[in-house]
Amino acid sequence: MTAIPLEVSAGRRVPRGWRSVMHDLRSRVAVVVLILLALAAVAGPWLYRVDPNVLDFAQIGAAPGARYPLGTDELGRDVFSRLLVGGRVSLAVGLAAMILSVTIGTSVGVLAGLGRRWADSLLMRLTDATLSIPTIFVVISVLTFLGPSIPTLVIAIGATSWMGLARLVRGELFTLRAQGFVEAARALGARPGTVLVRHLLPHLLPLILVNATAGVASAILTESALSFLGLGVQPPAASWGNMLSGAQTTLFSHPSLAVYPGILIVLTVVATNLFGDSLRDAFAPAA
Amino acid sequence: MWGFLLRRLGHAALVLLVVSTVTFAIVHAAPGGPSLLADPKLSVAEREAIESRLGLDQPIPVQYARWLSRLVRGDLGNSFLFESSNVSTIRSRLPNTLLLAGTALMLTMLVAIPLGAWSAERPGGWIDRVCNAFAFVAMSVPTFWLGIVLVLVFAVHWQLLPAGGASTVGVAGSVSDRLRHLTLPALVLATVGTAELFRYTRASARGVFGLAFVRTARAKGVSERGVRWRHGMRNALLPIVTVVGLQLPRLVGGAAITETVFSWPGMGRLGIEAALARDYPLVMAITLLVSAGVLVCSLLVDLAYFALDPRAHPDR
Repeated sequence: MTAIPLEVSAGRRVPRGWRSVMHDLRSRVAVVVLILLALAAVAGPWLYRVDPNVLDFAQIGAAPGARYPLGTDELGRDVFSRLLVGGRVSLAVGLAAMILSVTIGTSVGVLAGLGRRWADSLLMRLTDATLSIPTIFVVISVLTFLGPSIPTLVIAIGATSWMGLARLVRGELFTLRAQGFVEAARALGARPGTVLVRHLLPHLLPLILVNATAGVASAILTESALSFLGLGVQPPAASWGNMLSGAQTTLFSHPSLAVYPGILIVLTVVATNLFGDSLRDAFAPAA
Repeated sequence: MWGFLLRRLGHAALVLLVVSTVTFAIVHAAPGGPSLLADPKLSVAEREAIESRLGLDQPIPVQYARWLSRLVRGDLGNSFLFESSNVSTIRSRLPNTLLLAGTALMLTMLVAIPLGAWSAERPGGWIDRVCNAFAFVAMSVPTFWLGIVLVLVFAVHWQLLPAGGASTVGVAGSVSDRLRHLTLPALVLATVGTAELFRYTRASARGVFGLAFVRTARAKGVSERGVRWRHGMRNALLPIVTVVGLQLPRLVGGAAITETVFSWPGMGRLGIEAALARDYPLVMAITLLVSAGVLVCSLLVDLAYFALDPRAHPDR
């Protein structure tokens, strides 16, 4: 007798959307790939202790071998070790920029969606304005005077990619706040903060998550584009983006130098987007 | 209708004002100033002379007011870098960008819409899977890298197409020469947009193909082609209008990296050069122009939508 209700409650603990994400092949593959990449980036440099910045002029552009598992780059640095360390940087920049962008986007969306009318129209005009700006020029201007460093990159990328989420959150709040359960919570005396955190944010979570996955992917791509212009993570520090742009000059003599970081970028972006797609299908088919 | 139009134009003007204020503030918060002042050979007197000639010795609010009042009269200021009016500098580059962006957009629509319709007929079929996989990879490849790889393969290795520029010096008038120069940058620029538009088209078509009127059309014996295009896609393309309309200005602004890879003499590369050289008046002029383009396009999209779908009309 007791077994049946226990099973039901165990089933209910994982909401239906999440179950479908867990059973979706796309998200399974994506999560495995992302975990492997993250593990390699976090633990890799700690396990494979070769200095990524040592220049070995006798071994410039060396082929993979016993000494250098993936060979050396155009300056004789160990490619494998740079890929691991660069992965740390690229993933960290992607995650940090995404967190910043999601924080700004959610805050602006919440303030506009729940605030007074003047706040809403002010914030939405600001959003429209930022959305209409070709942000790349502003980002370059900011980076040329602040100097390209990891924190400035994160700020520049995060501060120019929050607009889509802000609009979606605002729109979602408009429909949510008219619904009965919000009114009920209010009637029972819940304070606005409680209504937001307990009743509204859980409904926004899927939207935010889908956006966050896309945010990581686009931040990694933006960093690589900025590296191409010389404004990404600065050498000698490695990132997949600057390894890729460093490999341009030797693309014909040593194509593998461009292939490895390129594959890792594509793999990361494809995996995050796949996961995002799976989330979207499970939670927010319309978004 | 007129009320709607007026309201939207008012919004657009307000947004442009915000754009100008925000970019002006960001750009002028910079310590330093234009890179031509960074020349260590300049004496203090020469530096001050340049500063007063460019109006940089004034307080920032005064500079902003001056800039804004000139803007209203259609003067986008003068570039530090080219020492000429921004209007004429941009005018010389804009046609190239419009050519590149227009070609890319055409390519995008020609590829993405038929493929999207085709994929949506059998979701999960092999066409759908192949197209989806391609779209995924296309969205995940860094643009500049794709550009460089194509240059190396087609220009350096096979020597089929030129590596950069908009035309060969000396034969500037030749159409085939222009086309050859256009091919690679247009392909690269179209890639991401094609992938995105494909995904939108597919999603939209899937929604429509499942509706009752499509089944009715099929049941009354309309040819498969007619079902797909006249009945299905005609409705599925409605939301696509929005996506395409909003892609155009983004193509113009987003062409910056592609133009740089292919040394295409367009406005995007101009903007990047200007930003790298801290040529603020030019950066602001380009930013404002692209923003205005975005706002105009989004207004046009709304108007097109009312024409195509009477249910969305504001007077209803």
